[in-house]
Amino acid sequence: MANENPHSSNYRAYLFAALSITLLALSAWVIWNDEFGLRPWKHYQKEYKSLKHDKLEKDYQQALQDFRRSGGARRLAMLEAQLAKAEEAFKQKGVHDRYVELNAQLDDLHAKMATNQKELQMTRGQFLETEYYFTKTQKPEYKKKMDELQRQIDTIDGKGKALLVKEEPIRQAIYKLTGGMTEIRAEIEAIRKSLEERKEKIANNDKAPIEIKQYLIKDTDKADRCVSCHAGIESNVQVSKKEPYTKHPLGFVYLGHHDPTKFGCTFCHRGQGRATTTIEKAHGNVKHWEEPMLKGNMTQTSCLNCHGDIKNLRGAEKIANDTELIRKYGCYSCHKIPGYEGMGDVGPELTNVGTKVNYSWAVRWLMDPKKYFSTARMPKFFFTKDQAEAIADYLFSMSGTTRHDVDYATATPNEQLVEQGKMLWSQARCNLCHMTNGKGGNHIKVYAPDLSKAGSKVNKTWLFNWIKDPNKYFPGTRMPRFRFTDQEINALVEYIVSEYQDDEAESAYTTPVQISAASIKKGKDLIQQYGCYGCHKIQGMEMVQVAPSLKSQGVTFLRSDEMREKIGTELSSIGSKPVDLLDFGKLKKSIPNDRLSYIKQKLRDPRGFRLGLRMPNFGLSEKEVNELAAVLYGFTDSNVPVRFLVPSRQELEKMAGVPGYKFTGDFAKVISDVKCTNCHTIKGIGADYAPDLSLAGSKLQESWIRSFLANPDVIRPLLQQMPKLGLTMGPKPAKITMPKFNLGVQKVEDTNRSDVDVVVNYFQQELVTPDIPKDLPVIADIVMPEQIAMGKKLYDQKGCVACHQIGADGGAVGPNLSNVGNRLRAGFIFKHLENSRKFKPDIVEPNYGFTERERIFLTNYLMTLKLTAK
Amino acid sequence: MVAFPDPNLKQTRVKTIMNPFIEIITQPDNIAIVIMIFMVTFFMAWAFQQAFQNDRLKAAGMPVDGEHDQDVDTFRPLVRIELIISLVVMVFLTIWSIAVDAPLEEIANPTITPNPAKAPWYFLGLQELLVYFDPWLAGVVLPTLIVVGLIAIPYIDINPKGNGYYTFEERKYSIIIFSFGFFILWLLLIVIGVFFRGPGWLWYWPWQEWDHQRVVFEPTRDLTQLIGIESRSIPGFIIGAIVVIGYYVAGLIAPLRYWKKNNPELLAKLGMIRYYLIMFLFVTMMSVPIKMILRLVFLVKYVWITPWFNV
Repeated sequence: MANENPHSSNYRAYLFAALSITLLALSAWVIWNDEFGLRPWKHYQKEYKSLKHDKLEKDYQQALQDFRRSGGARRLAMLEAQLAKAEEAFKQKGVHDRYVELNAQLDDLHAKMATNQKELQMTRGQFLETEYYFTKTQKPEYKKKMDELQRQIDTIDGKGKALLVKEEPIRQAIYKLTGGMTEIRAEIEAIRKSLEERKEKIANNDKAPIEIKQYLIKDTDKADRCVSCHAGIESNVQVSKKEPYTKHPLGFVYLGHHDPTKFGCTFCHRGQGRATTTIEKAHGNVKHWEEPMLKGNMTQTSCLNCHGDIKNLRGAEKIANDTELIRKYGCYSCHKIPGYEGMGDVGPELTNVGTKVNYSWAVRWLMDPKKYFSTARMPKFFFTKDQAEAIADYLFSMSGTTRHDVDYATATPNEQLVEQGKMLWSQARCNLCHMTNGKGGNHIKVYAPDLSKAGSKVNKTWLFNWIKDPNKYFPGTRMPRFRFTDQEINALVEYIVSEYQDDEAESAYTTPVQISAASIKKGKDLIQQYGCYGCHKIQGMEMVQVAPSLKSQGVTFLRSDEMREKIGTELSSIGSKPVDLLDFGKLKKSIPNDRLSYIKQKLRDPRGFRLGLRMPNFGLSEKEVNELAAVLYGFTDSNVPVRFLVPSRQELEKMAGVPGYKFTGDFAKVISDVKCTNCHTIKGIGADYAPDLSLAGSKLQESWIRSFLANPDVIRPLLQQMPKLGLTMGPKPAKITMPKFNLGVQKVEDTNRSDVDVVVNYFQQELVTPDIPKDLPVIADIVMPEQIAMGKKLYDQKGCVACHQIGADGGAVGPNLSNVGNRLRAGFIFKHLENSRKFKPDIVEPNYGFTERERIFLTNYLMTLKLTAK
Repeated sequence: MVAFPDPNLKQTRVKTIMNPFIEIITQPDNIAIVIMIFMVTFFMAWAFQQAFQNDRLKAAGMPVDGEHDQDVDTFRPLVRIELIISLVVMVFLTIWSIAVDAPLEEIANPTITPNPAKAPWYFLGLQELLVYFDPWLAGVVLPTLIVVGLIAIPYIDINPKGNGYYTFEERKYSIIIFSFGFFILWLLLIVIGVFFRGPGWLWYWPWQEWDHQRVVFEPTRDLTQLIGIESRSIPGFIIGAIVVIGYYVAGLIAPLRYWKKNNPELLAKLGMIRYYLIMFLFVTMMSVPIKMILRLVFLVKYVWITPWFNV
């Protein structure tokens, strides 16, 4: 080459040619790459189209087969033959001529009618003009003219009517001539249509263009092209079970309430909605995309973006269940979490704890609560024995006590008292809230402490005072005041202390030891460092939570809880926090560097990332870690358009300026004493653990309320948290009854009314609604026994027995109706039968659409169902 | 404390831990600069090899490749070679653009500044200057002077030799100064900016993992604070001014004195305007490495603080 003449026309021609050909080949590659390589969704759409074609074709063939089998084909052939015959007859000379002639007559008639109509309009116009002038001038000549015109109008109108009469016979004659044809054609059309429609569907499917499809949502700034591959996601019919052709699971819940054209996909599912070139990119499983796609149940965390209240929200069962953990462990005590402000303290007040527990118990508990009880809610702070003692010293010195244990176990219990206490324990149903030796208790909603080892923990005198009046020691407690006599309380205390002993308890501090000032100081510092005041009320510690920035400005106290600086990081947007801002510390290389892994690792081992972290270890199970992580992942600061928001009832009331409901009068005293709202909801206050009592006054009969409060028994064999049409994924309900509070034994403070009277009175005065009539409308024309008989007939006809039990027969889904005549008011049953969802939106009971009379019959029948008192 | 094993680890995406250096150089962003390193090295070596070869030929009194006896026409020989090269470049760019997607990072978020926030690679040299100079100097004055200086080269270069062939001996000073300015002050700073600067614009060796939580305690001070005089006081201002102005005066006068004594013909050929222009640009260029050494070795931030700009 070196010797080649640079001036020759062949100079480096081969190189030039080779490069040109390469470039041409590259151009082909560019076109292929642009058309197919970067557009994998084309393949999926084609595949989906052919799958859908197959399905539609199959449906069509099936329909065709059915059509043939059911004799439709024979019928069609017959009709067609008839039609052909009719058409043949119609073509005959005479008939056809007559048809043409008649049609001409009809046309002629129509033309005449049109002329007449025009004339009528003109005359009317003249009339109206004349009328106007007459009204204005009152001249008699206008009046005359008006009368004349009116006469004309009547004449023309009469002519028109005469013409109209002629039309009908001509039409009838035409119809007679073509007679059968019209009907036969219509029937043939109808038969063909069902098949044609299917054929058309197939044709439409085949015609559909292969193109990029997207939901463009402007206010969330999303362009979700997911449907370009997931072509069948919106369909009601499952075309294929293979991804990406499936339909949306539970589509009628999720897509039904969130029209994809208005919500898009990635608002709930995350992922990279704009990406279309590879599956990994579109699902967001690529570097620098911090929001990987959420799959399956995990997607429910997105419900938290918009829904203020996710309890009883269809399709959000998992996340609703998971959020309970936030309440259980009180995450909001140390972290700011929106929607969890002012929740109250998770742990008991500690100001006087020295008078309550043994010193050695306190030290042991502080060092590792989970070791004491595996179900303990308090986390492990990894305190050494010295540190635990220092904290206990601070708390005990505040209560004015010394390091001291009281050993009651050695004293011989009074057998008679223990026996009486045991009876009281089961009568009062203490086990309903408190777990003992693995039995009973409710750790999901009430969180009452486990009492299996209480005998070695608490002070006998304290226990007596506690049962006597829990509010006195701890004003915000959930423990109700049972109406026991002092003697009964003594028996209960004796029973608890002797029965529930801790075998592992050690009493290291049997002789009182004075507490040193240095230890108190150390304890106080530890409490402030680790923020014990977040969960426990400790006197003197309420003020220390002033934010450092405010403290420097001289602020030393705060008016409301919401201004308190929480000890932990704010969690309101943890689910969208940039990964760069998460400190993986020394675990940077050992765990995946994404947000969810960080959250899970933090929950598993809160102090694992580096030195100096203060969050305690809650000893969460892997299941709880996943559940809590799912909730935290849902706390985002994503841009949520106002139209998406579904505020909770409380938020709505706050926005509308409706003051929250407050209990009044003596009933408020009863509530603060008996804590009805631990389980019942009343006017939006309280837990959803037991029936809502907001309308109890309209619903329940007074005598029944009285007898129930005296001796509460279960109303429903199964709880109402029955799986709702298979959608609920919540825990299976257990059998639960209401505790016996011994109401009516004592008078309410400062009054001489018995508490049952107060409750019943409040129910009847306050917890009523004008929507529910007090009494039943009367039907005068049928005698009562007959009405009752008709009601019973209806009850049997409609299959009520499938769900409700009367006597020994019937199902267990709905409440037992054996004693309903004593329990419910007739007016309530009457209204309930009209629209059962009016008072309880999530009820399972179907709506039968009874007439008013039927409802009266049924009510009258149900009111006869009474159990005679035993 | 032990990291609890994550039972879901197998299902989740595990980031493969590579050598950070390999990770950095294989990033699509950095392909261009990796290519640049190899190409610059190759062409620099080639040019110097040719230059030295020619110098040896000249010393031996033999003709040099590229001198007038071997001339060819523009059309055909040159145009064809240019066409072929343009085809090669097009083929290369086409393959590159199909094979490698444009490197995108996180979706832009106005509330979050990326760390490190790096300029396009060809500007990273200028960004690196921000470590050593006032933004006004690093961002406005120095780039302007670079452009002005490059434009001025044909007018201040009075040496006619080296036209059409490679040589080192005949243009020793021009080549050394240009190479210093281009390779060290421009390309090396780009390489530093790309490979050695991590979060917080802190220095990371290629084998070090980038760490967003890294803390470095490195207090800087101004020159006069080294001798205990507050730099924002009037004495500090005066001392700073003396140092900066003295540097320029010395840089302009000292070579003048030297050449007057040893090489008066050169000065005469240059003329005083050319001399001052060249020396001003040279002294300004040399202020960059001097300031870098002051900053890196003595932790000096500014020499002279004025109300308008800092030097």
